[in-house]
Amino acid sequence: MNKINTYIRPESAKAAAAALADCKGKAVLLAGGIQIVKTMPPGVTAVVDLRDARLSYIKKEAACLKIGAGTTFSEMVASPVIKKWAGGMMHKAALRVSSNMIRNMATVGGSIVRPYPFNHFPAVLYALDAKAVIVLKGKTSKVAIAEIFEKELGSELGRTAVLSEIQIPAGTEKWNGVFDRVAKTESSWENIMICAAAAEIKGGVCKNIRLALGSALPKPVRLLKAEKSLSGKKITDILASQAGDIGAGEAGSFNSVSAPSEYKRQIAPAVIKRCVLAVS
Amino acid sequence: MTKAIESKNDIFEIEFTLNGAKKAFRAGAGETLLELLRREGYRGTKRGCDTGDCGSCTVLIDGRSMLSCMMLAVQADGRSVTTIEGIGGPADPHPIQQAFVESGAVQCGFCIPGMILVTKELLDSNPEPTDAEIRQALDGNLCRCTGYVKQVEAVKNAAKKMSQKAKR
Amino acid sequence: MSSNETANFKTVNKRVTKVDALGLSCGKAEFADDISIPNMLHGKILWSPHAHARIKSIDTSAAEKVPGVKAVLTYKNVPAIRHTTAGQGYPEPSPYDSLIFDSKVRFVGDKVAAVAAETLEAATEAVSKIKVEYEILPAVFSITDAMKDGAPVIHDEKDAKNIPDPKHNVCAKFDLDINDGNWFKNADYVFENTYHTQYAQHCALEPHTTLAWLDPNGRLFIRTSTQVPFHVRRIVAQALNIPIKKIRVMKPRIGGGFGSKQEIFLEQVVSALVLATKQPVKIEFTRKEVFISSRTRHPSMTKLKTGVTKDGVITDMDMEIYINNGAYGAHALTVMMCAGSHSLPLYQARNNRFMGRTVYTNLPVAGAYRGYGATQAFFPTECQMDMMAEAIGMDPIEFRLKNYIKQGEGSPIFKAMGEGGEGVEQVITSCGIQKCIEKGLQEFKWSEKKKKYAAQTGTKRRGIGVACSMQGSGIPEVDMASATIKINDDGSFNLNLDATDIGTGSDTVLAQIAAEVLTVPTDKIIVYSSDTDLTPFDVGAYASSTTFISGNAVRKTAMLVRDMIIKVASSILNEKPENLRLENGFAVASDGKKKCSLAEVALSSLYFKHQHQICATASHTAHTSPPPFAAHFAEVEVDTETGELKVLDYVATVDCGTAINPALAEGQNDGAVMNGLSYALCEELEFNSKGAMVNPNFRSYRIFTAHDAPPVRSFLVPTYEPDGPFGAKSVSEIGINGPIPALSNAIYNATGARLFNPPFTPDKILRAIKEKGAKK
Repeated sequence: MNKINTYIRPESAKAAAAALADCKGKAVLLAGGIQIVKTMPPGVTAVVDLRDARLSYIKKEAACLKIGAGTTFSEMVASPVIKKWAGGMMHKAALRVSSNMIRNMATVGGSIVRPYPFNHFPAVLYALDAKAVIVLKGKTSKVAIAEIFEKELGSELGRTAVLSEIQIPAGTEKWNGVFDRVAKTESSWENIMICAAAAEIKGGVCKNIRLALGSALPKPVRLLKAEKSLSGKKITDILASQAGDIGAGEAGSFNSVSAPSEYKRQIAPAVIKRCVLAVS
Repeated sequence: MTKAIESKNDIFEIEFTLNGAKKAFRAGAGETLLELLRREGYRGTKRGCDTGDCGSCTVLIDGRSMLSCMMLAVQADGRSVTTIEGIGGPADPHPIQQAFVESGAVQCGFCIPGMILVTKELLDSNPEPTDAEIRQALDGNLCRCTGYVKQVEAVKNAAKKMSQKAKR
Repeated sequence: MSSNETANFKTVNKRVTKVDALGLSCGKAEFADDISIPNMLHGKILWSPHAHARIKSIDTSAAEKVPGVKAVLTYKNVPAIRHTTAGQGYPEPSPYDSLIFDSKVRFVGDKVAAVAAETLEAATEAVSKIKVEYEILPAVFSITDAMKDGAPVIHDEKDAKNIPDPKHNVCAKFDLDINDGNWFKNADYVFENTYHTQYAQHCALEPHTTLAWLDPNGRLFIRTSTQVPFHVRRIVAQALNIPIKKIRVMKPRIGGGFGSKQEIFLEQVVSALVLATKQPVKIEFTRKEVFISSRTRHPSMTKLKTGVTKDGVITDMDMEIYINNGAYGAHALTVMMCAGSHSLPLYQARNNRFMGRTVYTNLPVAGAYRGYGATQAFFPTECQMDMMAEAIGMDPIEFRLKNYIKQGEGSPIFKAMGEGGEGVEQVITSCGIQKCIEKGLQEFKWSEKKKKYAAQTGTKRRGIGVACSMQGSGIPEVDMASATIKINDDGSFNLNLDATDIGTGSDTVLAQIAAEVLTVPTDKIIVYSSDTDLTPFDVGAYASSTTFISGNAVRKTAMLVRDMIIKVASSILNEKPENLRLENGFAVASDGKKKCSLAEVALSSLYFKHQHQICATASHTAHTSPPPFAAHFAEVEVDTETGELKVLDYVATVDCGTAINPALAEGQNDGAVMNGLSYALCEELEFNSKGAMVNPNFRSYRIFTAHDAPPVRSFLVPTYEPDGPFGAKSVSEIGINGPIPALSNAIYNATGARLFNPPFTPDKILRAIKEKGAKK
């Protein structure tokens, strides 16, 4: 383990970003710590702990639902707003994060800054059209979640940039939402495949649908072609099957984390299909 | 105001409440909270894996169960830490400890301190948990001896004991 | 004692609270790492990065210069006495193929050198500064490759002993052929299949930890997390070439063993560091080191050929089993033999053939693990039982009941095959298999579920499966246990024994046995266990021997003490000894009127008249190993599109004779079954092409959590074993044998797909389904 000689506790995201800048590359952000305490990069001797930065909140506003990046998964599970939002898909996803203690420690922000296969939330947030608020070099900006996994921004987060908030469009509140997960065991960290689906169904017709696949690929993906095949239509068994095949085809090449990639390719259509049916 | 502390000769001078008593501690610069606690004599907190996967190192931080092997010792500064020694001792065991004893839920005992702390956290917020809620709460505490069967029973018995105590 | 008196037990067969539970629940009990001593050094081991290599040179000069380092040991400066690390009785039936440090390394994770330093950081730094030049040798990672002509020879050393065929890397072999000359001639159906079981690990929550130091008189004290204190003493003495009398081994609280601590591979390293530095040294394995460098289960490959007649008689059983011992031969012969000796007698086939080979490979070392070969063997046999029943159109339960061994029956296998050599002739003197099956059928609602699942549609299919097994109770004529009991002033007793409580509760169970004989409550028995200076010999906790063998030793000892008490009481009460008996802690005359308390007897004997210490020691070996029996029932739901499996219900019945403590016996069964389920469904140690383990952590090597755990219900089915203390047999191991075959049978019942290779992960289940097509 690295020797940490400086321990900083800022009281806001901006102050955290400033502290990171002051440390000139020798500091990392510490939220839950699960992904960082035992795997600090070489040369890191300072830690900026976000525990006092007031980033733990869930605020329903007119335009969007704001979730502070420092909100723990236990807080997500306990939140009545999250339990009801989009069919409770975030609640279900939070409930299945690792283990009780990790849900108490790990934060939503921490779980989306790297596309590690064991994190559920990237795919879930894709399906909700979520955006992330980033503080970097004194400036605050809003980016799509997908941008976080782009090389440049991805390497800045936690080292020079602070992810402070996640925003979910208010319109998704009444959508149906589904969180599906294939793993070796229920409690297993390592997911074989995550499928998240959120849809606005009006009069039996699918007005809007978002499908995302996670953990089985190098980065989470939105299944745009599969979405298009369902949008504006009444979802039937056949249509869901087809969407499953389309989605599996467009997903790209599957990784072999926790299960052979061939297996993932085989089950993807069925997993996507059952998510589509569940969300309709 | 951003609070910043620096170590001197690789030692942080920190203060935290341990089992109800606020005390000064010296936290090593490369030390986890688990190492600090065991070094200070609180050996009921165990090292089973050191990677946050087994739950043997569970402590309560401000009432929430957390993995002390995955925390820097310095992170305890200003917080309230509870170890198994703060729950009860052989002369005055907590109802949860009694329930684990009476239910036959203790075999080798290595996982038990962590389980008991998590049970306290659970029952403090949910006095009548269902089986599923109990298993969900215990899902970070690995046990190889018991198959968890009698431990789930123990938590239910603990819930009964605590509600009886509350009624008096 | 007979079965009639079981109703009158006062302490035995009662749910007595475990004597150590309170201390453990308060975090007060002291495990191996919980004690440190002044001047203690920390040890760290250098592990081999190569699967097979010779050490060309090893330079420790830089390591020695690290501040705080007190000793660096390699093969150059420790004794080179080949021994086995297997914790077994002397002479150990495993090859003597290990050195403390060798000039050759045989798996990624093999010991190369060790450092003792003032801090863990200094020791770790010093280890990283040891410079080793290796000559890399070709390696083999599979049983078949290792046995080929011309394969790299893993143990080519001249001083190794007990290796039957080093050139083919065969470290144990056993052949048995008992037939009437008509191999498979009378069978109407013959089945032949190959089954595999995988590398797995015990995952005791407490990592291996040893602390050792020299006392002021230069004796070596070893305080270690072990199942086998006396074997530790003997093997450390052998490996370091020091007299046994110079060593004392003590057991602290142990955080689980399951076989992983029936091994001596750390104690000699720590002891060598102590002798080199003259200071106390502690080594605690990291979890990664436990995974890679401690011990594992033996992976196996079994070819089973069985024959059955149309009317359901098993005619022939031909078992060919290969087990992978990894780089060293700990338990090589015995695990392999137990595969046959514990499984074949259950089936009473007319013709039996067993061919067992244990093979070296350049992979982590296998050793004792709950089930000990029986787990590997009951997978093929119990699956093939279902296949045979289906072929002849017989109900699988009926087929089993027709063939299984019954009370009063013997088997030629018992005599021909023991554990390490010949066995003993025996007949079954207590057999609850039928009652176990009946109890299981009832609790599981077998008939109801069978009807419900007879015709299914949809992509999710449910199925049910059964699997039965037996095990042993100690190793007959080999395992020995003894105990000492003495009385104290207040009528309490010290019970000193080496029977090693590794969390199993043996301290409590054995106290109950003593308490029953001495007619006192259990809390009057003070148990002190496992200290080679103070407790008389016991082989230790393995082979399911504690209740049956140590329990009998305790019972015998208590009876001797009872006689001594009666003799003193007869003098106090002026009554003939034959007119006195013990009752509720009093010596009582047959008229019921005259009596004196145990405290009075104690005071009299210690202080007043004919002063002597009432104290006795007795030993026990067994001439039989009465098997416990188990019947397991599994209900599963399989998603035929993804292969995902859910266990909906699991009933595990067990006949362990009299359960000395039903709560502890259930706990043992619950734990064994859950371990077996987890092993069957998601556990596997995995290696890359260079023989390095890729998942040495709890995150990727998954064991069931409370949330994963399927609903398991254990039921004790009592019988009375005349050879056992108060009718008891063993219970600790057998539960782990059921899940793999029960689940394979249930998956077949649900989908028509048969799996021959656990863990039954979703991808394997889907592959099997695709290959066979859904059944209904």
